Amino acid sequence: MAGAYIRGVGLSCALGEDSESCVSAMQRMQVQPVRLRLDEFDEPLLMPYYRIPDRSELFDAGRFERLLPPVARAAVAQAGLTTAEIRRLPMFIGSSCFSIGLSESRYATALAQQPETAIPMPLCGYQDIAVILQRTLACKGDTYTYNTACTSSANALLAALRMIELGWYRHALVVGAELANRTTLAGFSGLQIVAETLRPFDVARKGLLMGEGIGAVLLSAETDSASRLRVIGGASNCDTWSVTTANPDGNSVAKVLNQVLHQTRVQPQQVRGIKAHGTATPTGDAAEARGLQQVFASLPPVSALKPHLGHTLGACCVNELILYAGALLRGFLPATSGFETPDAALGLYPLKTMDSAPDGYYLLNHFGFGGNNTVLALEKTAP
Amino acid sequence: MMDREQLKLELKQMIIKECEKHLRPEQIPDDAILIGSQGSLALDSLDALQIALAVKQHYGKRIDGSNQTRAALTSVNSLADFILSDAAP
Amino acid sequence: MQPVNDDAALTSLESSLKDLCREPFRRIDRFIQLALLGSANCAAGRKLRPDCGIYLGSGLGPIGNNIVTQEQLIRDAEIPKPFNFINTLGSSAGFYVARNLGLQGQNFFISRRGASLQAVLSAAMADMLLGFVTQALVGVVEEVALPLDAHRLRQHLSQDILLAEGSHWLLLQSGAGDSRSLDLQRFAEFTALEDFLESAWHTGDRLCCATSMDNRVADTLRQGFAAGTLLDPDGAFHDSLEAAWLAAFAAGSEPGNLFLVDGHRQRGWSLFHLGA
Repeated sequence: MAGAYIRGVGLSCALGEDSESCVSAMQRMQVQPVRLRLDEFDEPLLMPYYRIPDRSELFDAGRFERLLPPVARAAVAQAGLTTAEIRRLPMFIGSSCFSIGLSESRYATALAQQPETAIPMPLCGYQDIAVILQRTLACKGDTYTYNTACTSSANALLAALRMIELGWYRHALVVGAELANRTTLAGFSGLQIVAETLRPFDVARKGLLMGEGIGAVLLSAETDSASRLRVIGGASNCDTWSVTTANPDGNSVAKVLNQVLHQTRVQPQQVRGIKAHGTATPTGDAAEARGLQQVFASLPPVSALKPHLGHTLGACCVNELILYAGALLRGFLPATSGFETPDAALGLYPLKTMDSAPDGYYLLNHFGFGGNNTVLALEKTAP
Repeated sequence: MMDREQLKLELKQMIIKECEKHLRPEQIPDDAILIGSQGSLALDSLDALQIALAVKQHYGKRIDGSNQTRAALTSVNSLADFILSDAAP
Repeated sequence: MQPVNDDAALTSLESSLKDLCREPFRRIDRFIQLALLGSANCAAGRKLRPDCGIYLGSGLGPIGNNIVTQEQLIRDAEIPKPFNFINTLGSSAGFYVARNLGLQGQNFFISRRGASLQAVLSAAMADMLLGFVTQALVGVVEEVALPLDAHRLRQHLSQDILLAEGSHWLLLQSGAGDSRSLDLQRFAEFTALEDFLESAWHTGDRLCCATSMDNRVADTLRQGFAAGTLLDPDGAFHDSLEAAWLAAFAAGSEPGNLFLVDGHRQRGWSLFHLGA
């Protein structure tokens, strides 16, 4: 596969509101989640949350319209596309929540003002991110919106890559977007998989922590002299073992990893680093670790990024790709804060301190509800 | 004080409703293991969460990941004991 | 496709599902039921390949479940029940479809609101053209949520529109000789699209224009190929009506080709060609 070049990025997450600041903050390992408290339930809902550090109140209804455009503009500007190219730019969007926060807000307001006529789910949701971004960019291209839980933006990116490969498009904007909303926060709380601290692959891991984040990657069939990163392949499967997780025996994870290696003709020993999914749930990390062990006789350095920005759910692929790619370009592999004590049952030791990032091949893992697994392969080349 | 027999019947009806099992209450023995592959009901950990939330909503008692409260979900008997106990909600 | 006439309860799907499902699935909502029914009917009697991918599209997704979840969360201030929460995701339906049919390959949920058919069909065809799958189950599922007047308001539809539910599926296969062929062509210019249609058109062929297309452009095309225009069957509506037309045409025995056009002068045109 010829692959697609990363020509532009934009990012807004707990680490900051532009991609360079986010990579620097990740390098310094400085950012901590805030304490979130929702009082409307029988018992207050309390959890750490990685919020975007914009100045507005977390559930402010205007955030959806305000926070999306700058991220997309940054990615497109960095790529230096012409107005005509932008006008027909296709968008591949991944999200778990879409505009649900806005929907909640409108419904709550209607209930307070005119309960008899209040309509739940006043917004239909799936196209809302595309509509805002197309308006922002004066764009009328095709849109593809993916909703496959935590692999949403990974599957969106995979589709963009393939359609560029086919020559249907020369460029594509891949977007991941996740913003704070009550459905997600209360929903995961009800599943009892939210922890107090995030400990990927640690023996004491108890679950995930959530975050919000909006990321955009401009992929292109053409390189410019600056782009040193190419997405060279990817694969996806769905093992249907459980609605919430892949089979912890790791077989379906191993299968998709092997598919990507076979497709890109990369040997396991050629992989220089792995950006893990690492949600720190007991079964999720087990599935990932066991899958990796089946494929790699000797594991390359593994980085789990969620302690830096939280689990941004449907947006996690794009957000973490931008952070990992940013680190690679600066020559380092990110450390996994929160990992202290290995789990002997997993035998996986993510990086605790930064390591160097040579040119070569890298894999990025994403595993979602329903056993939906997607792995992408990246190549970093010399300037 | 809630009548224990009445409570057990309510709990069985709740389990049937929350887990969408096509059973009548009298088909669930009081001491049948509820969750897991040894159980006769073939309920899983997600069913356990569903039941736990319903118990919280109806009876105000919280069942979480801790060993003490998780044991409450062993059977209808243990669930009834848990709800009737003086332990704080 | 099933019109929904009033606020009486929606038709129960339980008994149809019993015959079509290999396990008695619990904790599934109506959207998942519709997906199971449509996909099982489509795949009935067919051998599905291990790599068969699932491409499920929808304009509104599991709206019934999402309404219940939001009412409980916002109106009643209750933590969502696990299954209500899990089923707010479009991919839950794909999970159950895959479970029911014994599939473990790719499984995608893709939306483009009223043009979701075009999105899932494009994604499936891209994967088939590149050889990532040799078989694909492509479906569009639309659910109606009661009460109907609220459901129309939610979609900004006028109150005299007849609403319908639908679960429309196509099974695509590389190299199948005795079925209708399906091609996708893309044109940068409208004139190129028109020229192609002129050259490919035979008497008895049918044309439909995507519901999201500009009306004037659609009328231009319809005038040029008037003899073959496909009309709405009974005027009932759900998002992605194209899915209903295409599935009905594919399942029927009408001779001739079906051409489905979508696009915009600023992004180009797609032509889906369902062969005779």
